[in-house]
Amino acid sequence: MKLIQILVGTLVVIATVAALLIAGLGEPVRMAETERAQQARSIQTGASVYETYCTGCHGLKGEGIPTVAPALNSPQFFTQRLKEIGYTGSLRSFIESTVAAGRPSNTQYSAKMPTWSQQFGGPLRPDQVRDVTSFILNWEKTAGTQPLPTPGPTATPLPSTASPEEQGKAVFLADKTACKACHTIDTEPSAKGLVGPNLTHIGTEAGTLVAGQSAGDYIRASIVNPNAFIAPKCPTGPCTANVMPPTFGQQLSQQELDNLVAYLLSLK
Amino acid sequence: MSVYVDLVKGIVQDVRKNGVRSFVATQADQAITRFTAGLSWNDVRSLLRGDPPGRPNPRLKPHTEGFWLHIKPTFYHKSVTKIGHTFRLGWLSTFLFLVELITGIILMTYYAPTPERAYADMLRLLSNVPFGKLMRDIHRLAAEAMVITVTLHMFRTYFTGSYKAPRQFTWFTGVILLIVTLGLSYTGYLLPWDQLAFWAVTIGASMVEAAPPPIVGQTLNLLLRGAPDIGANGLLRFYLLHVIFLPVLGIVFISVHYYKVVHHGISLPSSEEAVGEDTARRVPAEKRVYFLPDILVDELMLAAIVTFGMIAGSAFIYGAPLESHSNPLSTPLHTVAPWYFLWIQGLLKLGDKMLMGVIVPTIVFGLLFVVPYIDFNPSRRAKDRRLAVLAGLAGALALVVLTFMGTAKFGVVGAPAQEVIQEVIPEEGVGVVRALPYDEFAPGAYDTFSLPEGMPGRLGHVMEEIKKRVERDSGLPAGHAVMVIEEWQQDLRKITLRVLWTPSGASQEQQFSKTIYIHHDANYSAH
Ligand code: HEC
Ligand code: HEC
Ligand code: HEM
Repeated sequence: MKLIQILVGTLVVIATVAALLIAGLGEPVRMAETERAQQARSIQTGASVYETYCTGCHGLKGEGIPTVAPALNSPQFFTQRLKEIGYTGSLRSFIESTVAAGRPSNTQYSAKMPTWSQQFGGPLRPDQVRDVTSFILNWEKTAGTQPLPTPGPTATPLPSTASPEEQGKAVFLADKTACKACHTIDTEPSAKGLVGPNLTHIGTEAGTLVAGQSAGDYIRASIVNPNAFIAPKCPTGPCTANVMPPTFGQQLSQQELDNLVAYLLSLK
Repeated sequence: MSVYVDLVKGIVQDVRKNGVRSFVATQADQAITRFTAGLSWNDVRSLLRGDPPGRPNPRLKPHTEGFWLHIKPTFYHKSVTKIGHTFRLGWLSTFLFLVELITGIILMTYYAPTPERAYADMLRLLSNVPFGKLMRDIHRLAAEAMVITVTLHMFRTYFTGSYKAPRQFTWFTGVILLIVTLGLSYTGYLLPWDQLAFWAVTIGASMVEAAPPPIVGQTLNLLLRGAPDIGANGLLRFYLLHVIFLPVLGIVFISVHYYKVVHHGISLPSSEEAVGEDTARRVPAEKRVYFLPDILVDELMLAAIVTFGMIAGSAFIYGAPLESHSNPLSTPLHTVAPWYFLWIQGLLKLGDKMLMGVIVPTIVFGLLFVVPYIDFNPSRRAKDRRLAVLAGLAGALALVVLTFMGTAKFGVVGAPAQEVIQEVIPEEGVGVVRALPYDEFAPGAYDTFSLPEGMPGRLGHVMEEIKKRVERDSGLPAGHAVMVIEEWQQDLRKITLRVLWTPSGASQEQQFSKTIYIHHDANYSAH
């Protein structure tokens, strides 16, 4: 009995050593594979972070929105940007620190790059900042296939004695909302965006799109909650959800919103 | 000085007289005797050969002179060495505890308990530390195995009536060890700082908060979490409990428990002694099985098998889960407690948090502690203790049933469309869609109402499955699903799954959708 036990024990120890050896031989490959998979998943997570927090300013696919925020997928960003400003660190650290701390002041753009890291009071954890950076860096290989954005002229604010429609038009054309960057209104030379539907006749069309919803309600809902109903026709094909920023409800004051709706209703 | 001179002279003389070989042999023998705390080389050899011991038995010396074996009996009664009596569950528990200590100390070197680092350290352990994944898997596997063996060991000592006089206190320290074991598993659960950990522990800690009266609950909760919610302080506290407090408590009480076992001997099968008697320490010579070598060989063989099981199991079969980074803002759809606490989650479905989550479990553990002190029946024979055996069986049955009730299957169900999507693209884990190879995701829009005839590839197969699933669901009248696959970046595709249905009487279609991104190298199929 005892001899059998000793024999079994010895064999099992040998088998254990063999198992360790086999596992050990596979380790380098396994570690490399795990690292690649982790990097891939970091990009995946980063894509979701980008979709939630960044598309409103930097565009759905990092193409930027003229006058609002710069492109993050351009060759210029990957090859020239660091030299331009004399930053000596890596592109990764440049992006990570910009995203974490934001850019409190700027001259070129109507929007300000917000502070994102929780460390500075923003909504993102350090790992999310790293993930969204991995996602942006993944544009490097395809940088340049999209056209470079050109900055447009800036609109001047109107005195508050103007009619609601005129004030609404000013909101529409203001850089801070960037409606004009995505929408075209044929009669407005500065509103030639091709991302969202053409709004030239929205005052008439709006009443026909959702049964039971008046034109005014429809327009208001489209601005405050753009994903509630996805408009059928965009310049480049059917419209998709999550393109129009869902944040205007908070960004605009009640007055501004009312004026904006009044203006769009007047576009018959 | 002269002492050393004399010593050298003595050695030289000795060597001259008896030769070098004899001198070396004597020295080696002495070294072995010191190392084994009393066994000479010849003793060791006869031990290994399995010769009967001489008289007086030299193999008892290591028990009296050495530290390690003083906590083991010198001999056992033949009847208690039968595998069917103890099932070796006590030794298995001890050995798994040792495995945990060793792997745990290794893991500690690669881990810092802060919210900024914990999860990243886990990733680095998996991708940059040779055998790092193995260590982690073994640590997790052995922990779960230990919960099982300790629980089974409790049931075995219960059903053999071994908790009765004079072993009441052995049982009492056992219950402390059960709590330590569960506590170790539970505190360790939080450390990876992923969604699984964070939410399981959040549920558990919220139970503490429900302890009555409110001031006690709040204070306990604050002590445990270090803040109203789990954060940096909570993580540090769980870590310290896990690596210092509970292990030390475990070592102390395992020692006490072992001492008690040596002191009283392992109880004999009840059929072999008269009711009310305890003859475990009076073993007739012909019934003795000595620890050296028989029991030692037995225990070492078992340890070798368990080690093999742990290593091979972790290397080739088992993988400890790691979900995405913890996110206090997003509660996963179906949060569950670790399986050994599912019974509490099952209880919670029967009543409110204070009663079922706090009071009932407290009573259960309280009862366990006092079992030997309220059971006055002197007999350990099953036929004399019908009630106790029945209670034990009922307890075991309740444990199983409640555990089953605690699983997500038997629980709150989300909206139908949400459930469909959760099945196909779960928040955590893989699911049928992510498991597909990257090349299957050909960009396009696929509607289950109008799937291309005999849609090719595994994606086609998955779409057929989704179609069946949606059309079967009575909560989704006129239901269908649309999957939109878009090329998003180099090696990255965006996948949106939308479930649409028209509630009866409504004219407009409703929808629920979810978007994920899949990267070429994500390698879900490997897990
Ligand atoms: C409110 C609009 C806005 C949002 C939302 C926004 N950004 Fe920005 N971002 C800007 C502006 C404006 C700049 C340019 C600032 C400057 O150069 O003065 C900028 C600059 C950057 C830069 C540096 C580009 C360069 O060339 O210097 C990076 C990187 C960046 N943003 C990443 C992000 C990420 C990642 C997110 C989402 C987490 C994000 N941004 C969200 C407005 C925004
Ligand atoms: C990033 C690009 C973008 C910006 C900026 C943007 N939109 Fe849109 N908008 C879209 C897209 C894309 C759609 C169609 C998808 C949808 O309905 O959500 C849309 C839809 C609409 C519609 C519904 C049109 C229809 O034909 O049904 C209205 C109204 C609208 N936007 C108004 C505005 C206003 C007002 C602003 C500024 C406050 C604005 N949008 C800013 C992209 C944008
Ligand atoms: C870390 C956990 C534990 C360890 C390492 C441990 C270890 C041991 C060992 C080695 C024995 C010798 C007999 C045998 O192997 O069955 C033993 C006996 C015993 N244990 Fe445990 N034990 C643990 C937990 C418990 C628990 C949870 C209970 C009950 C609540 C318990 C109650 C007892 C009793 C009553 C005996 C005496 C059995 C007898 O004499 O027949 N132990 N324990």
